[in-house]
Amino acid sequence: MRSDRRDTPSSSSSIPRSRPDPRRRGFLLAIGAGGAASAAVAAAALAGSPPRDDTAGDSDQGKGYRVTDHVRRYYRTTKI
Amino acid sequence: MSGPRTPVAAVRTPIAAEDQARANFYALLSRLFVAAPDAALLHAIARASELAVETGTGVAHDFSGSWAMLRAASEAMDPQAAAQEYVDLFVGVGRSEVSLHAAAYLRSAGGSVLAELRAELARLGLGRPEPSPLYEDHLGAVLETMRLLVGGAPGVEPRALAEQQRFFAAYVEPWAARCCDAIIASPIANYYRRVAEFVKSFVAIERDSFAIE
Repeated sequence: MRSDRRDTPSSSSSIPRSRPDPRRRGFLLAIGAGGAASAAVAAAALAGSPPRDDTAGDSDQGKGYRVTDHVRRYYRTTKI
Repeated sequence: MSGPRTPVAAVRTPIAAEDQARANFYALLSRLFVAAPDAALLHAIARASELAVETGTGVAHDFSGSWAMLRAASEAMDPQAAAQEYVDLFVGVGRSEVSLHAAAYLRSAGGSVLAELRAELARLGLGRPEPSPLYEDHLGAVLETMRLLVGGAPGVEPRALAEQQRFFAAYVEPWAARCCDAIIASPIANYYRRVAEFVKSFVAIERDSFAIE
């Protein structure tokens, strides 16, 4: 565990979710944020194969923007 | 395993279901701005369930409505067309139709939004281990940061609400809606108009939920 630990019990800025706010939770659940929709698309977003490299001609311009490279990096950092 | 220390691969601090959902949406939206959706992702969005709206608030209605529009657009969109639209809108240094960089929308008192953002990421322990052509103030990168703060990742703990709100208030809320408006206003935007409308409504939900104390 690398989360910060502070001793002041009143500080909620460093201890994740120690005191969930029921009103906030109710608000989010009421608008469906807890639904299955998000899980399905997140799985697809994180686990899908990277898009093919776009070779439309922009990949070498300017600061070397390369779709494939940065998307690969993105997937590397999100693999579970 | 003895002692108080936990192995690196230990399960992260569990988060509430609604926060996992928030992290999931951040993951999806980040992915859509990092690159165009491929066929698999379009299908996944199209097949996703609708968001039930139990309250009558405008923000909630916009959220479920824009999600329905994005699902419908994902069903209708061709991945090659989405890829071309992404390139036409966002790719092309100096001549992209719409900028996805915060620096294009924000003014920094210190002079550099990107430098401040990098310092904040370093403070959060989210600095990049390897160079990337995707700058940290790119909308995809910013949304990915929110995903990590809310939901964590392997080796990355989720953060408390106050930390999430701090980053959101500084590096998402001030410019995301204006960036989305630029996308929506572009005659080139088609699929990404729906993406932008959903991002706007999601950011509004986030803003309102952070305000509940």
